[in-house]
Amino acid sequence: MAEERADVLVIGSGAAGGAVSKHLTDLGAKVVCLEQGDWMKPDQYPSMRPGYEVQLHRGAFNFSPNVRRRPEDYPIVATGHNPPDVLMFNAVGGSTIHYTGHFPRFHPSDFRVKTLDGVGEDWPITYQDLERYYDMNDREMGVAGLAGDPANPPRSPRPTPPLPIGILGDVITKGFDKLGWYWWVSDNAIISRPYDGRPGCDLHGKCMFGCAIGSKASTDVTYWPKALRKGAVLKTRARVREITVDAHGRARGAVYYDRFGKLHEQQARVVVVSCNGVGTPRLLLNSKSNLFPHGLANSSGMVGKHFMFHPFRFLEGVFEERIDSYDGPFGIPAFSQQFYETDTRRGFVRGYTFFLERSFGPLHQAWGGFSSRPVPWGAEHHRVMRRRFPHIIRVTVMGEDLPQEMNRVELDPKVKDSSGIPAPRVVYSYSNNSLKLMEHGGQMARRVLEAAGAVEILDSGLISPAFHLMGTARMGNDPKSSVVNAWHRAHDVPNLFIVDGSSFTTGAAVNPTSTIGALSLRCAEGIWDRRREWS
Amino acid sequence: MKRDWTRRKFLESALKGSFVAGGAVTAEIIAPAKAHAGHSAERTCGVYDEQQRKTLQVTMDEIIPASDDMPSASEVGGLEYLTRIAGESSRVKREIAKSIGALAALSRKQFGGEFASLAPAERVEALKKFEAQRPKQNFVRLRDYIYEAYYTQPKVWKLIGYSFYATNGPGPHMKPFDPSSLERVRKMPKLYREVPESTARSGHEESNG
Repeated sequence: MAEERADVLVIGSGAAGGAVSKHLTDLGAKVVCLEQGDWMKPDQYPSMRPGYEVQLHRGAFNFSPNVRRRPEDYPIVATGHNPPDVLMFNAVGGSTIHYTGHFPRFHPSDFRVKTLDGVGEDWPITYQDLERYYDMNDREMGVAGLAGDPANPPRSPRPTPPLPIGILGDVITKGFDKLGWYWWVSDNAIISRPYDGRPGCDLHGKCMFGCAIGSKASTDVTYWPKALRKGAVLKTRARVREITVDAHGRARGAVYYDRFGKLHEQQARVVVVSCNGVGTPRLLLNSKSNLFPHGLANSSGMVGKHFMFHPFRFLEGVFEERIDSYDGPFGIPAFSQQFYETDTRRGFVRGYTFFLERSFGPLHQAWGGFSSRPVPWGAEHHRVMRRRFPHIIRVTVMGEDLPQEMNRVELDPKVKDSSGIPAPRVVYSYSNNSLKLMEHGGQMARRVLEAAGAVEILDSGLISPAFHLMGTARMGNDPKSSVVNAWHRAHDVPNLFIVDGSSFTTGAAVNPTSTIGALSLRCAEGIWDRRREWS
Repeated sequence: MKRDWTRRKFLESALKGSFVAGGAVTAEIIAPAKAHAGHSAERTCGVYDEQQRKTLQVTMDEIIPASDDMPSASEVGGLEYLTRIAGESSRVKREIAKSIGALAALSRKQFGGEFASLAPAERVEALKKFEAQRPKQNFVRLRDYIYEAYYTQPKVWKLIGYSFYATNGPGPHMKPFDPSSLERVRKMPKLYREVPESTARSGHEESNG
């Protein structure tokens, strides 16, 4: 059953879909968004209940759709030498529902990786192209932070002041000061003061289990209420099966299942895909037709290729003093980019960011904390638990992952979701550069923890929680090696746009959400500027 | 005019928004809350038989014993907790039953008796062998469920000095960030690389054409 044709159909309502929908609606477009998840009810968030940590092992709010298995989730198969644990959320707001809210920006050099360091590819845009959209996105989302950081280009005053860094911050930054290393208080999309109709953060922590008061900027409390008031239409529990095309090879709309399993087609003049770095290639590869037998926008064969996520290594320092690192917002209190830019003397190119991070509560610590070192059972249990809790500071190493064609998202030949749509399969192996870079990061994190006074250090080693899904429909000027152009328009389909983590040409060593929002606002303007061509 | 937003107002508004904009809230979201609220004594009866309960209780007190001024797992209601969550989830029930079944089998085979009837030193020995046995999950799951039963108890939190702040109530007090702590760093030279303008421009202007 066809529905009223929209100007723009947006698929996905997360960091990208929310920003695109709101901005295009503001500009005057008639926008319809299809979201496979539902609205989250704040009073259902685990953060409101004492047993919230149980969700890390099981429950409807686990970060992994394979564990969570909500009706709106789809299974994800992971394989390769280092199969990642792919994490995401499907709801209005997408994965901003459970992200930490950390909101750094790319560096100018991140857009010129090939030119400067001879690896990966250059982006077809620059930091300067994106700068005003970063600012716009910061204002829309609401950010706490402090300008003046010497590791990043100057930026506008932050909408709200920095969040407290707590005892954790006071102790670990002394280690950085002792070594003469750089650190700075983080930009977080968690407002520290009332802003734009939302209350300031009350410092509960547990941000990854849902912010019930709306201080953390998930797009269901930032972009979406405004977009809906302006007339955008958001259809929830609408699971898109495929993007349809007309006889001329233009996108016609999308066929989707509603919450009752009934099939509909939503037509539009322009289609925007914003389903994240795994969901987007999955949808494109599932959108096969006579004109596009290998999937939509895939004449180059690049859809799904160059999958990137950020490798992590968690080092937990045990300190004599009480740290209370579970207090305060989970967004990163402070960070360091001392080893961010390339220095070839280190034996690798590119770099990493240190996050000086908070922790969850006692249950997570007993289970092993972020270093996966469970507190021993038996006679030693209480002594070790008392030594670790609440005495731990976590330094996280998050490295840049270079794009490699063999790392990819494809369709699994057997596994399907509950609607019978083929599931994605992620194939991934670390590069040698990543291994060297993360080893260096582990050594440097150890140094700073020791300098700060840690009496014991627990190290997770290299691990693969794939929160940041990137690169699988990348931007580029060359249609042979990329999927979309500098304005996110598919090289193969003139009215199809792709914007989310999949558009990233390279992944940098910062959390991607701020950049996804900025790209999305810029993409929306590009679409609007060319509205005469919508047909 | 600036709106006077309180948390309650925000929550009410957000909830209203959910219903209006999102349509009916799904049964799947409401269901877990109902299951939680609907828990009752009769649902926890008969989850495990007497022997299983005995094994579970003795095991949890070896995993988390009473020592160092702390109570044991069963003393804080660990058995009741595990019975309750097993009554709410067939997966949890199955996993715990599988683990204690494997432990019971090991105990009979290697120590000649039921785990609960072994001497304390033998129980520890049996648990060490169980921990080393494959599949690892049998031990790990049981240990983790017992840790869960212990560290979700507010009475334990009080003893270890943990304060839980629900996101619909007040949070902890923390001192505001002191910008003077960054004085040294502010004076550092620029750490990021500039990209020459000629390199920065690579034809993106044409790309929207």
